[in-house]
Amino acid sequence: MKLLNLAFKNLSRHKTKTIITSTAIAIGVWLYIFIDAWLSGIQIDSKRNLINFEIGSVKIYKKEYFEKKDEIPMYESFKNYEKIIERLDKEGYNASPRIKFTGSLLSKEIELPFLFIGVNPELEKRVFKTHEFIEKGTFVEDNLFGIVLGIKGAKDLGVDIGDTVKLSTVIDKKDENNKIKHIYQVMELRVIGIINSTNSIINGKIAYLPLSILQDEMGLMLEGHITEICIRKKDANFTELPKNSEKAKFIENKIKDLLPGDLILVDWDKDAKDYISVSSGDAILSYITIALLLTLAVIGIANTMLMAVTERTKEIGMLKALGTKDSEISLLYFMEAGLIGFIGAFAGIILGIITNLYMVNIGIDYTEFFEKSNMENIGYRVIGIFKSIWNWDKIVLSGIFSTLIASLTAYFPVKRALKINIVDALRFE
Amino acid sequence: MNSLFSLITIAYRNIFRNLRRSIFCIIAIAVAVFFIVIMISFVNGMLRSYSYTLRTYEIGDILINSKDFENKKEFYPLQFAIETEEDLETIVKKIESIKGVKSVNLRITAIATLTNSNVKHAVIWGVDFEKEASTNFLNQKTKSNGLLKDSKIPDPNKNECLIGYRLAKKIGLNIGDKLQMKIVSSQYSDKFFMPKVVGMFDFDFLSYDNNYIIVPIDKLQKVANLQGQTQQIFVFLENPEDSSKIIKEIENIFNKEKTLIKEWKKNYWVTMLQQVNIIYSIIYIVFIIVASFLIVNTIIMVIHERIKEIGMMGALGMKRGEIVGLFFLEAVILSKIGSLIGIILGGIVTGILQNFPISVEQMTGGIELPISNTIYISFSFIYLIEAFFFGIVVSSICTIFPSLKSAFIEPVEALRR
Repeated sequence: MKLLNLAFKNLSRHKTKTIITSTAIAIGVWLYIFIDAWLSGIQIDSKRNLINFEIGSVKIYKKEYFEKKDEIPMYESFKNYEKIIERLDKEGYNASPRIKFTGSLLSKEIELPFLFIGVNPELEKRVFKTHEFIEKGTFVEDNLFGIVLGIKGAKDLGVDIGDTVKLSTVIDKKDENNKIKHIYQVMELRVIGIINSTNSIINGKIAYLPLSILQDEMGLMLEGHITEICIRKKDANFTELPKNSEKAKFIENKIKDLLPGDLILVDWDKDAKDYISVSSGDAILSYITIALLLTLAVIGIANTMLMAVTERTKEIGMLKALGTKDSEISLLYFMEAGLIGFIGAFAGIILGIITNLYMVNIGIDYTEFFEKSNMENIGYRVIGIFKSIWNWDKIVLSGIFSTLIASLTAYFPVKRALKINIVDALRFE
Repeated sequence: MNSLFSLITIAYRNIFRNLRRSIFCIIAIAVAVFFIVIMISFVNGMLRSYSYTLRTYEIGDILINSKDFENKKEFYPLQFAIETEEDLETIVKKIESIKGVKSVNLRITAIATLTNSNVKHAVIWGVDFEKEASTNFLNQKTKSNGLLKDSKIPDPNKNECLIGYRLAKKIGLNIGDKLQMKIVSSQYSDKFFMPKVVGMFDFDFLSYDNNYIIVPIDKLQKVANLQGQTQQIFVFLENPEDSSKIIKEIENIFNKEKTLIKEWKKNYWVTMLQQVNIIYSIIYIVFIIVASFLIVNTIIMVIHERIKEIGMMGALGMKRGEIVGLFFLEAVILSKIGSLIGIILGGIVTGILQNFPISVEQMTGGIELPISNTIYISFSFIYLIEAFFFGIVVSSICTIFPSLKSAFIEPVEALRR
């Protein structure tokens, strides 16, 4: 304690120097806190939106489907899945069977490519949150020839609730010889709902329609085929990311005996790998910048400490002559360097908290940017306003880390100080 | 003049009085300047690739289309051809005769429904392939027209097309196969046609390789009922920077009520990318300031250490301005050496790295951004000079203040210390 007091007094000998050196640390810590909170804010929002609207916590696919899922190969479908869903229900999981296919929607004015998702509305509502974001009308209903569109998709098509649209697509099926046949299909549907969600993809050119109407000649002749089953735990908290009991491995063990060999369970993060890699690419560049900035700050502290030792050669000699132990002298200088880091980190954390207060509660509005740039798919699944989140553990860690690193920079100056010969030092000018 | 020279000599000698400390300062500035060189080269390489790709494919140097088309351009409607008083050929000749115009390319784009395939949609690009390839490198990475082996250019008189290699892979097509498709013509009627694939292209540009089919524009004009008309006119210039001047001459040719003529510089993406540069400049300044803190500290210490000397110099008749200048020059020499080392290292690294392609595909995770797949770090002496002056100017400004401190020292007081 006495040493700490001494270290602090030493620092106040050159106030300007101390302030300038610690400012460098403060800037680094501040930037780190700001960028970390900002990126994790976007990422967590993005992940939440992926899970709550697109994936669920685990998906069941046919293996071949998963390998080329970007192409949406609807011919890699499967049927007789009812038992799996029943079993999952018994084990405490909700499951929603879906079929995904691409095609066009035609309004009176225009023909546009859409992604269609055939769902069982009751089961879909349990797994996803999409139905809570119906801006107008209702969600899909069984046996009703109605379609629900994303708000931007509807706007592009120029249709509203009650209008009739034509769905035109080519259904791909595998025949007995495993050859893919293409069957041209057209059906008329009424727009019954419009979605305005927090996920930019769902608001785009996506259309939901009931699985029940697609099965026979009236629809698309799917004959019970689906392409995926999305799973979510019954008591799952939609604001949190899935826990261990929602992992693919865990669920697989419970339904293993029912699972045909060609079906696989895929975790949400594996399913969304591409989108997640976008965000990590952004993060790396920012972190490299901060790391370099901190390197500069560390060089600054090392320099300051070196000067301190040289300047106080006489004093160190005196301390030694008075019987101060080597370990005490080194501790003194480690503490002095650490204190510079601590003061800087403290200021940086306060600045960071102030900026985060704004960023968490208000955020930056990018709505205009998205509209002008005309991009639906930016990798991140968010709309409009980007907000940060509080990452308290990272904030505290950044403080501890920069204090430690700062005190370590005193290593070489300390070595120099310990080498000082008492007699020479006392004579030093 | 002579006194300035001797000041420089003294300042230079002073650096060696505490060499270790000086080296620390130099290293800090060098690290910061090195980082700036790398960043400038990387960002500029990226921006250049962005802007080249945008201009080649999306916006040209000057882009002409009808106002109705502009409102719905996302969906490439065929109904809104450019209306002209004279016939198209005369117009093209007129634009071509303007000084500074390199090439005038007609393009028609449409969404096609593939009726016999597992991929349901593609984009048809009606262009004069030979002309496009001679105006720009369609594949920036290989600096070529991007056609793969065994491909040939489609004959406008035959029913032939080119296809993006990724799209071909998805559908499972080979050269020689036929591809059935449907478009909605300018008269709102469904038109089916089935061209033969005579080649594949790799433009190193994800959205084109994934979605595009190229047919000769003459052929598409016929299919789309657009004989003698076009959807868009792309004008490419000898020097893209002249676009503001040339656009005025082009504006006179067209009906201003119905036609929209835009230059690339005013494109939303281009202006946004330029804003990115401003943000980076702020980052550079922060870096140099943090590095300058070391020099600032050093100067403060130096003045403190040499207070007796300052008194002596003052007593011997050195002016205050000269004493301030002495410390300031010491700082400037340190930052000059640091910046020099920084740009030499940065120059070597970027000079080597410019030859290595950086694939952005993994960074974007297969999302179709308006950017080519490969970017190169761009190396230029201008960037080095830019970074050098950036380093010196910012750190000099930072070190003026501590140097000024020496002016307030009373020689008599100082001598007594």
